[in-house]
Amino acid sequence: MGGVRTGVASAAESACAGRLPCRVEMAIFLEQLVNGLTVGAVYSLVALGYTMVYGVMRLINFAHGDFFMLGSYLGYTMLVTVLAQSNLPLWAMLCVATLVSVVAIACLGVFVERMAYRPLRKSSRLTAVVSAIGVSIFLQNAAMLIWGARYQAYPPWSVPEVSWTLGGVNVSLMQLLIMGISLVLMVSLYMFVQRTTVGAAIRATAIDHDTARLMGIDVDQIIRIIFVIGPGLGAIAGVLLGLYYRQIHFTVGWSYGLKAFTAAILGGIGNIPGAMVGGMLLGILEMLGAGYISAAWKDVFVFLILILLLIFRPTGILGERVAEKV
Amino acid sequence: MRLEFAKPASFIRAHSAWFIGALIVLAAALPLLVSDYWVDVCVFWGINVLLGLSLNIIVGEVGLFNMGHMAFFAIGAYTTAILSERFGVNLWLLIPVSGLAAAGAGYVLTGPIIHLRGDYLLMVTIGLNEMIRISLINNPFALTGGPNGLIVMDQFRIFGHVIQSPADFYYLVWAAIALLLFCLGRLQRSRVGRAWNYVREDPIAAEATGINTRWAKVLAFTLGAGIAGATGTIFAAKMMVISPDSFTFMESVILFCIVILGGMGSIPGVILASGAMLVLPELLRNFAQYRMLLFGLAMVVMMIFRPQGLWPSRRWTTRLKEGDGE
Amino acid sequence: MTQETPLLSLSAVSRNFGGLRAVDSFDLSVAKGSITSLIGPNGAGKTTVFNLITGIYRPDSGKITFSDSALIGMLPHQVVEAGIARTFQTLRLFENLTCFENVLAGQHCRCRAGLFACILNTRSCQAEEVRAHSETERCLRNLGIWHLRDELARNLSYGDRRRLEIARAMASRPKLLTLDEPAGGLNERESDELMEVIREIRDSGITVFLIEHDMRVVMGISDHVAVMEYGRKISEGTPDEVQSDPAVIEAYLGIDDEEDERKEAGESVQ
Repeated sequence: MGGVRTGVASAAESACAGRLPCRVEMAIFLEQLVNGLTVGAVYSLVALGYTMVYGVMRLINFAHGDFFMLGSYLGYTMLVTVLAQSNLPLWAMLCVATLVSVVAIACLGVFVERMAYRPLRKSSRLTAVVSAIGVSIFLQNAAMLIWGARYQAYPPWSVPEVSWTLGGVNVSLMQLLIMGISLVLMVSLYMFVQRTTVGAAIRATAIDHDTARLMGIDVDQIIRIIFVIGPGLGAIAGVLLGLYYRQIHFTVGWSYGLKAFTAAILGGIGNIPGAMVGGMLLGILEMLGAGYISAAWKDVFVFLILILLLIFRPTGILGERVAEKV
Repeated sequence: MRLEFAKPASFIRAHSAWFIGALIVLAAALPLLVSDYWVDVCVFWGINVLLGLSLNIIVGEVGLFNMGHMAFFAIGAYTTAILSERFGVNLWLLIPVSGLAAAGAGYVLTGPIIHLRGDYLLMVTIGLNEMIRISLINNPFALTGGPNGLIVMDQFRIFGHVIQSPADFYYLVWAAIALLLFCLGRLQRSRVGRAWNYVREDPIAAEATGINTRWAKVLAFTLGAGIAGATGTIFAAKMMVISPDSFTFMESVILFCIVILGGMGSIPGVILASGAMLVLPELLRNFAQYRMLLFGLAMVVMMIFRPQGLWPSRRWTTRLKEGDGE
Repeated sequence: MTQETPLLSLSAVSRNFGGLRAVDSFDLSVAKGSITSLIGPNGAGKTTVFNLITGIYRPDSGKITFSDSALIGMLPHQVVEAGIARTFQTLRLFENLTCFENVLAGQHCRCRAGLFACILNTRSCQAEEVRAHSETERCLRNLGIWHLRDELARNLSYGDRRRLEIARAMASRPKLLTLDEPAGGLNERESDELMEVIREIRDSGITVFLIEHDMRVVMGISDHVAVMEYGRKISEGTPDEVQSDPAVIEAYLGIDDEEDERKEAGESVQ
């Protein structure tokens, strides 16, 4: 999984081994914290897609990670083909690339929902999950056939190489951008769901499709909206991650998807603030685990936390109690 | 009055003795009829059938979503490699030993999580799969050989004959399948097999009807894990090199899908679906790179148009032995 | 109230859900060989009492005794093994299995064959199967659905599904059969037949404890009736005694949206 940032992780490890002054240790801790928040922000954006689909349809959308992966690839393709020829300023290029990627992935999301999920809405949950896995395998292999099995790299000129040192902690512009953009997106999504009529309709549909329909809500329309927002956020996360790590691969959909879904469960699946908190927490835990325990074992650490959490608090951190009704 | 169980009549069933006889003769003569290459394909098909049947106990019979089955297969294979290479334990003895090791792991690992709801269980089993694969890569106590894996030099010997040619393995694997089929057939129409089906249909009703659902679930998980572990010994002997790459989350997902596509709880379905997964791509070599793409598509199409699977299992019905006493 | 030894007795049983006191120091005794009914308006806590007896919930306080042994702390399947079988208000059948298999489920706890015995198909395992099959056949015949044995449960009519669920409960050879609204959704003829079935079960020596809304059924077959409101027992006695208890009349008349019940309770007063 990733493993690109292990340079930082092993630096922290060796720093811990030798006795360093307290201030340096603090700086390393803060640096890991910033790294964790950055990755966590990406997890949160992806987790939102999982949690919204699960909340409304009770479906683990296995293909969601692949929307994220395709978003990353589309951004890359836009940058290296069309935009490389243009003489737009860098910020405009990045905006255009992101926008195109978001629109394309949102369309793909709606299309996938229409073709692969809607016919199965009335059947058992397992059937829909298997269909989602099928979509995921299809998209993953399509990406492999289109872009190749090797890593692709975002061009160096596309990434703004600016960073500052704040109190001994190195923070790059990209990290601030990722955290800032994620925060703005998440807050606006939360406002949208809590404060608007459409948001209320989404919440109603999440509780009960039939009742929502009786109240005059077009459930198909709501699900379509969910499949615009979720994959759209995923595509943004994909472009951001591509710019951050530079390298992208057709398997990142599964590796990041799995982490993001873990984050969604961590926060309480179906719960939007939960996905945000879960993503951030997972990112921080992962980076601190990598820094202070071992980079190689960090994923074991993450899954161990997931399992312990599910055993002792199966509803996640912010989830509500869902008793099985007799 | 004594009751006897029978499956609903059909042409195949009415002449089942002839069909089974013809199949056995054909299967036994196969290595003489086709090239070693195809015999090898059938060996891998057989290994997948063994794995599919073991997972079918958990997913098909009890309805527990286990997407981490390769973890138990890996435990079996690595137990074989370690005990065989370090301690020179006989491979025949290692079949039950690896089976017990994997069953033990299944028992211990699933004990705390077995009560989780479907989706959560699925997530946790994926997590377990990843934890075990990453642990194998990280080479704890220099036991597992890291990413390169381990070598198995020993071979099965029977009355001085060394099992090494594709045909030898072919007979070994399919004999194991025959034995397993016999046992599973007995189980399916016994008290234990019925208890599994009751739990799959409605766990709350099963519990309220006097079935210890926890016992039924743990038993199925332990047995399925044990069979996968024993299969690991055959796999290790066949491959001679085992590495963590063979036991990825992706492989577990494909195995899971084989069980669902075959028809949950259906033994012929598992054989057919794993055959379709392994043999068909060999027939269509020109399309090899599209194999997984088509597999993904086929999963979606199957779920929409034939969710019950290729060969759905049918219920046993009663037949009165001494006339029909209405 | 009853001179016979109670088969089942609840004393001071309470259970809270969050801030809601669903069952509030509830006492009840079910006499051996009787048909005892528990009635009360919707939301009175009747089904919770059922779930407390059958081990699905654990009471916060109080004692539940069944033929001289404590039930509290037992898991639902252990309660069945101890001799209490139940049906559900919303039917819970094994929809994709045949009726025969559905009823055979009840025999599970009376058999002992484990994994290896089943694979080896041992002699004792075979003998057990024969016993289980004949018991299943007996239950299906008693409930009059033997001819449907090979049908899948999901294909049955509503009345037959009710019977199937009772047959499944009976197959565990219970001492006490607990029925959660067995007449719910049945028409008059079907509920008459049901009453006959319940009487036969009682006459075969099995104690019956039921929750029911249909006053005709309750008053028609019960030996003893307990009335519940807001988690408490407000009245108890023979059907006649209960029908003339002012507390009961008030409990039922106090509910506006329960048109049927008001009518029935009102009728029984006159």
